[in-house]
Amino acid sequence: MNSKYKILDKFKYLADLIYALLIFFILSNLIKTNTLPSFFEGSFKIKLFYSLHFLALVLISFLLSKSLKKRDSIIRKIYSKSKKLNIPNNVKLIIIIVFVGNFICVLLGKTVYPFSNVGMFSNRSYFDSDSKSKIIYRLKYYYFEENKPKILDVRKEGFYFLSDKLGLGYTHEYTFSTTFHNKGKKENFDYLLNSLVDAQIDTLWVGVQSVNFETRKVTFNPDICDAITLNTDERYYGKVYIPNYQIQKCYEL
Amino acid sequence: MSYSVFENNILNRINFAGSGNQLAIFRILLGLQIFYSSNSKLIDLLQVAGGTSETVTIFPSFLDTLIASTLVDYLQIIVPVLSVLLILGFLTRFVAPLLFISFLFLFDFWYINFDAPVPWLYIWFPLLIICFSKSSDNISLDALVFGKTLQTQNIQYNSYRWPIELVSAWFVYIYFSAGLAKIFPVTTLIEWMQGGTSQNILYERFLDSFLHYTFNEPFFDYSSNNYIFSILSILSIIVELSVIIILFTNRYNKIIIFLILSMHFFLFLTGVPGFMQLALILGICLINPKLFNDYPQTRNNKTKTAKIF
Repeated sequence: MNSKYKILDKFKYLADLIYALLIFFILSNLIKTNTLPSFFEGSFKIKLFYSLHFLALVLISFLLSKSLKKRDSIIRKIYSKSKKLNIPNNVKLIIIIVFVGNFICVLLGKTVYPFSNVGMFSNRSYFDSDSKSKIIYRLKYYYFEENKPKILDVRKEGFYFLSDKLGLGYTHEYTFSTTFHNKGKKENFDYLLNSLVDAQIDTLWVGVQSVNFETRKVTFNPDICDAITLNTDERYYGKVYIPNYQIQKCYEL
Repeated sequence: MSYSVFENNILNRINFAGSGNQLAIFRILLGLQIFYSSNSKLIDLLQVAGGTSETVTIFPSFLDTLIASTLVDYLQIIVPVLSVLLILGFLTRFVAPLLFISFLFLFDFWYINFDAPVPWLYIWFPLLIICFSKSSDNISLDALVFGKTLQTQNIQYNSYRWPIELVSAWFVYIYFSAGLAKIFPVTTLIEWMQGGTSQNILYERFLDSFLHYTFNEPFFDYSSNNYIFSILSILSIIVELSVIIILFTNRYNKIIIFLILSMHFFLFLTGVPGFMQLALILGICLINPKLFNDYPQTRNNKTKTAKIF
């Protein structure tokens, strides 16, 4: 019994902080649902959704205002304690600016550099296993070493201790940009090829690496024409840049 | 009413004594990270190939254009040079603000073309705090050259502590916001909890991941439904939201940093590296300052009388 009351006491003690958080959550949920414009012409479900939110908002705001009037209000204590903090005044001002900037970003779900909602990977994606292929194809650059094709795993090169062909400075951000964001651009390919001069690589070809998730087998196909055929927009982050000499050689074959 | 569990809340901790060595180590690691990032070939690549779009900054567009067209070349030299000076702790009072401004400009160009919050999100606020702190009182050239002057300065009791605690608060903001971003709007939370996002990352990026580089083959069929992705997604939200505990008490810091690093290690294996080393750097500020040898043991008695809020 005692411990139960203790827990309830703790919640009482934190009541206005919890109310404030709930108001923030409701507002955030409303804004991010992004269907407010369709409220009046929307379905009953949408109207109910907003009505319940507004009702909860009003109710919790009332509870919060009531709670804030109490002398032991935790928000009031935090406020007075923050004012008395033993830190330089200009730092206090900076904290307020940064807090407001980030608060707005988190509430709206947006990043406005340097303020951020830190929404990485927050875009939900549904994985429909029935429509997904058991085989994933990845078009990768390769070169010949002792007459054998060798895959250039660019992402692996982003780590100095694992790097084989590129050196310091080719950070994981570079390898991400070159492997995904910029993979379809000629400038990206030229930059990569230039970076490999020290490694004595002057020609890169595009081959197809694949993984069959059912059999758990990973294979690599260096056929230059198969890579061209499989280079479609459906690939993850789109097409990869294939150099003209590969296309020409494929037509000649 | 007071509860001992909240005695070490952040508002109290800010007024506690700190460790000059802890702050100095943080300054050095932050400088090393800035040096490493500003030397990234990504900046050169973005200049020739561009990158992502649809990114927004607080700067007016003419400034974004000026940075991209003219300033980047200079900033690529200025930022690493200043970061070395920050590491050495030389003229830190002047170097830190200059580095902060040039860092903000250089990574403005970076972010516009590379829409991920790495590494600037982890760095910019801590660097701003370094500008106002006494981070070069220890392990620095400033201490070596101007040591006597520094000693005669009136150093506040908590001078080494408040910057550390503000960086801890930044750590909380980063992970708690990341958790919030995943749970709102609630209508799509169910989708997140089904694990589709984690599964997509592992499925699409397997051939570019460390799991492939290390083990070559997948452990199981990543293309079929598996409860493990759902568990991982729910765990990631719990771990991210749990960091808010740091604001109330520092009792569980070790567990929290362990969980965050474990999460990043898993992401690292699946082809999302980079966050782990940044979390480790900020994690320095989650270490109890008492563990550093310069912590003022006797004066700390004062802290025990601190009120809860």
